[in-house]
Amino acid sequence: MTDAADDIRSLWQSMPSETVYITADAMHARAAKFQARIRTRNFIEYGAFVFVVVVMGKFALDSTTWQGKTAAGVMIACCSLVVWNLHRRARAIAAPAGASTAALLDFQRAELIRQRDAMASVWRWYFLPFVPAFALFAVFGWMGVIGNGVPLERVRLGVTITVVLFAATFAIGVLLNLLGAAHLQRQIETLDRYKETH
Amino acid sequence: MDARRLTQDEHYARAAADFGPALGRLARAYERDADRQRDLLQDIHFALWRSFEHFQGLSSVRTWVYRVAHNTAASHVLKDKRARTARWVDLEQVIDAPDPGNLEQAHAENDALARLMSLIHQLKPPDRQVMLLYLDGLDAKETADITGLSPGAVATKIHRIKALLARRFNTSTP
Repeated sequence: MTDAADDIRSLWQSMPSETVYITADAMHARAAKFQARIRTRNFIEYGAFVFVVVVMGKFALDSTTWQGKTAAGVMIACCSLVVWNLHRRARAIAAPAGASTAALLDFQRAELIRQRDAMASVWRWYFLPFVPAFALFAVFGWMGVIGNGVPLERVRLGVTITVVLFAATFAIGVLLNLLGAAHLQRQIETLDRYKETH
Repeated sequence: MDARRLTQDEHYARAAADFGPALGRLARAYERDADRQRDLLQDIHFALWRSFEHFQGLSSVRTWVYRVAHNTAASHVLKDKRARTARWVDLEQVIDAPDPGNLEQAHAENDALARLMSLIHQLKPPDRQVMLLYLDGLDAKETADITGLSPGAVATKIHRIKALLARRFNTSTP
């Protein structure tokens, strides 16, 4: 029994196979491209936040009423909360280098679960925090106390459009994330079938 | 160039030289399609190079290389939608199954390596991993280290692998 197995091992180890030679420069270039993708994604995530802070900050400074300054301040606070939630719940974490396959699969499973749960609950930690800020802008705008001189009819039109857009974005965003969570659930089930069961 | 970059590049260069053929065999064992095999092999090399940034020398280079390579291949298989529907079997099922193919095929496929590769591709990935490590000459301890399986589980699988190879190749090995 052992001879046949040893012969096959020798045959296997002497099998000709494709050799790959990749220069260090090529590796560094590929790594740089990968890091650039992550930086772009982070830029979009945090860039939007910075944009809101700058715009709301200017609005608060220009506003002549406490209602305007309060609404802008609440919006900045809501954005800060959402960015913190995004960082805590949905940020990608690199797999441990050199882990055993079982440990890596456990890590991947835990990550898939974490991201699935984040997507399934996005209505609560991503969209809901914005409601107080949008509600303040809507109410104060309708009352005419934060228009900064803009005619009330135009302010009210702007408020209506903003509320409708926010509600639509909320609904579509939640639906897309639920679909994403279902996709991740299928990946988890695939991984479970892949793993050793005994 | 800073010293850290040199160390990572040097480690990779040595590993690629020492284990290049083994990595090529592994890519063939996890991917049948030639183009995708080439992509997988490049991904394995890239993953290996990146991993050496974190290599502390707590394990042997061989163990480290095989862990990274097999993990990259496992991720490749998990992402492949076609592979998910493949009818993989475990070692016990393969041992009990009759040798596939008719006489004509057996004569035409006199190449034991082709038959071995066909056998490997039938196996469920966890059993395939142990089979490949056994074929590459790693002992049970290293295999347990790389796979994360218990030494007892590895020993059982290796025993089944030896029985399987003896049954399938005893009369046809060149």
